[in-house]
Amino acid sequence: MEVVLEKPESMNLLGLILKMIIERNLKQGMMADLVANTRGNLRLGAGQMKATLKFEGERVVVARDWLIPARAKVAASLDTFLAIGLGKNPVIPFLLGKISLGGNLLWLLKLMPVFQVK
Amino acid sequence: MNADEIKKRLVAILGPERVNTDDATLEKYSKDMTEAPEARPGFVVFPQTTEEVAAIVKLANEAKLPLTPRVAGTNLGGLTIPSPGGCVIDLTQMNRVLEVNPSERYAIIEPGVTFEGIKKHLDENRYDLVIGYPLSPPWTSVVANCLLDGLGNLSFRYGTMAEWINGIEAVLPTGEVIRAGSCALSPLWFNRAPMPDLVGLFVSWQGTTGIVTKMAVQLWPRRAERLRTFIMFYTWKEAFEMLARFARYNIYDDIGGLSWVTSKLLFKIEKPGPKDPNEPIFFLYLDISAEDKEELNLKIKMMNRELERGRDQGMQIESPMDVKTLTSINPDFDKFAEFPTYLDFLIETKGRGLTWVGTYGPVNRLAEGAEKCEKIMWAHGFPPTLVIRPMKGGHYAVLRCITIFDRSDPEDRKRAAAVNAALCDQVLELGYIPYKAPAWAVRKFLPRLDQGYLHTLQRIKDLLDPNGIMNPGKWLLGTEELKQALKTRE
Repeated sequence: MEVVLEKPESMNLLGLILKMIIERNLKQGMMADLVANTRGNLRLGAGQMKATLKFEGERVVVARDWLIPARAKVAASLDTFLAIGLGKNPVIPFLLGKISLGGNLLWLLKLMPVFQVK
Repeated sequence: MNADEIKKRLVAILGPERVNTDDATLEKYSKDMTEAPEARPGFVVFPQTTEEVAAIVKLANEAKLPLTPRVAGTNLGGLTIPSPGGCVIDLTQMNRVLEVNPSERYAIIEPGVTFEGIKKHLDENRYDLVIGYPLSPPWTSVVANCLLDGLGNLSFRYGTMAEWINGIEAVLPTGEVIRAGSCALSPLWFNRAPMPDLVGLFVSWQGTTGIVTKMAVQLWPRRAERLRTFIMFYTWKEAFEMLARFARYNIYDDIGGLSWVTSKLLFKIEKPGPKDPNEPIFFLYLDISAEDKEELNLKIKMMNRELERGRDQGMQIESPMDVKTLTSINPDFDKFAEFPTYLDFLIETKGRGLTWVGTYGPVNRLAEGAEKCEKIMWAHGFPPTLVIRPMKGGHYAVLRCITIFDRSDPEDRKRAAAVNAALCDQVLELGYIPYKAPAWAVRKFLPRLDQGYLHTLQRIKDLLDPNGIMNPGKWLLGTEELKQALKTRE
């Protein structure tokens, strides 16, 4: 199981942070199983930075910008995004309108732990 | 005097084990991390006392042997590259902390004392005192950094490290030993005033006026609470506007910042390409210390108030993040948590080449300087690693442009030299002055130097070092080139 940056030299900070967090999480067996059984694109936005996680089974590709099609999307300010990445429950920011969610929310909620620091 | 005779005399002073002439040692001392041309010394010696240093200097006068003092050799100006066939005086074995005076808050140290060494000494002996640390490796010399007008994490508050010197003992180029500062008169090394300041004869002279064998350096109280916090900005203009506003408050230990390239290096991207226009350009950091939580919280409140004011005025500013938070995202951020630190991502690169144009200059031209230097670095194919810090309460600032290159590749070395030359032209144009200036940089600003200043420098050098043995060529002192420049301008 690997996490690969598409065009590492031009990857933005959001993509780099995602790669680092996901790589660490994949060392846990359950998380690796979850990712291995996941397919599809997830769009993420933090502040004005954009990235897409492409779940391809044996690897996750981090791409800069938003790719189409995507099964779900999540966008927030960089502050809120990092707070969620650091383990904060996303429900409250969502209810406060600080986070925008779209697409298949069940799929998104299942994947949320993959990019949260444990 | 031939080389064999010189070696015999050096061995008589130091013993055979502290005089090295083997190929491996001479090779090691012939270079540094920069693009500067290598030069092989004839001898490398390791004195342990002031008397031994004085004896070596007297011998060098007799033999007209060029001397280059050195400790870690990590300066980025080629300043410890010796004269061909000369003698490197490695001062690493003079590494004692001779005294800590807790009431006057200074330490008397030898030149081989490193930042790691003094921290260990202060911690182990439970002194309630700290020293300021540069962003250079832990094994670098406190004395060398002070003498080269370096800076540290307390420089926003207290200025360059040269300003932290209370007094020195030095061996002059003719072998006499002198003391300067209060220690010339008093048993205490408490200050440089109120005496004529002869310490200045050794500061930023790059080892051309003698060898400092003892130094009293100021220490500061250890505070109970500390916070280092990072704030991301999206434009140079807004970043430096906020930096200048913070500098007006006398509550921070340090204010500074790093360009976005640094974050990429921390995520192990060796050669970052152009920035995503949507990502932050500058990471401003603030160091805050306090006696207790109440004081700390008040300072944090003041910081947040200023940030809020900036946002109300339309600035795009992210919320501050402390180092602990950043470290939980990327463990490599812990390199910014404690001092002294080793920024391996700058040094342990392919070919291990590191060079810079480091300058002091006006705070109000930082945004223009950063923008222009960033363009120059891209034009030469180097990601712009910029480090910026207001100094001494914001009276002036540091602008450093750091280039990582492959020393083993001759073409990359040429490119590194070319980018430095272009950066130097640019910063001089904006009124910044290179510090730890290599000879090539001095050559660039020579035509701009005040004639009287230049003349006086050379006269002092001639007076102190009649045989021209001390670190020849540095600051171009004693060179035909400089003498010619003086003549032409007369």
